[in-house]
Amino acid sequence: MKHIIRTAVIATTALSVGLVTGAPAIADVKARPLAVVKKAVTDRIDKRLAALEKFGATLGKAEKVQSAHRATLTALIGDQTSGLTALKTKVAGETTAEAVKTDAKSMVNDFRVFVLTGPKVRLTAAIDTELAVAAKLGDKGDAAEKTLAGQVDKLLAIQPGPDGDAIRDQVKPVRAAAHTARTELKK
Amino acid sequence: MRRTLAVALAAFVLLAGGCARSHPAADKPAPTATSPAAERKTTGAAKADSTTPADVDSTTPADVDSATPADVDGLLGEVDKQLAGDSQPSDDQD
Repeated sequence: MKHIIRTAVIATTALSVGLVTGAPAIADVKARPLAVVKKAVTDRIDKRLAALEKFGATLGKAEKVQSAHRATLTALIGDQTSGLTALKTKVAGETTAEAVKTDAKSMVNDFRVFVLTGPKVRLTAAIDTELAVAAKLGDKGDAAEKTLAGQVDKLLAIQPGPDGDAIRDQVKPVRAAAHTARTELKK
Repeated sequence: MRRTLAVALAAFVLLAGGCARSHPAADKPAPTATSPAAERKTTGAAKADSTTPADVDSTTPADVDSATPADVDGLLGEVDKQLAGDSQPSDDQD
């Protein structure tokens, strides 16, 4: 009997200790994913904001970008900076991991900073500079001018969306045209 | 007599040495030869001359007409940089 009582006391004590020490751990597990997910998404938004700042600097340095293209790109960078800043605030206020996941999707699909905005800035700068060279070369620049005709308009018309591969496929021929024109201008 | 000759010789040597020392200084233009105003005018004119081709807005039609190989090479170098920047992997793949 004494043995049974002793065993029961030990078991109860062990269970109580387990419950007391385990309670905060369970609460922590529930709280941590949200904080971790929020931080991860915020970091990725910050990366995009830093990239947009860099694109703005690239555009500023590119002297030969045509004024209409510059206006479009400046507006795009400004809009995306505002949009991502607002999204960052939204992420900070989210109370569920599910909501943060939705914000993360929006961060990628609604902006496409890396696969679309970056190429838009860099390739527009390159193509408009190539067109300036072609104009200086006169007849020698005709082939490059032909290769580049309408490419920037095509590039700037591409819209962000959920299909990243489709966006890459649309950018690819514009990039190829820029490289081809570079070779033609070198001849 | 000897003493007189020695004194005369010494005086001549001293005089000749003094003249020789003053000659290089006389060759150099005197610091006051150009007035500060004249100097400013000269420098300003030199600066004005040096700014004319380079400082003209590169997008003006006049510049397009007067394309030089250096202009073209510079712009092609810029294109190379822009295309190289485009080939760099981005921070995120999406």
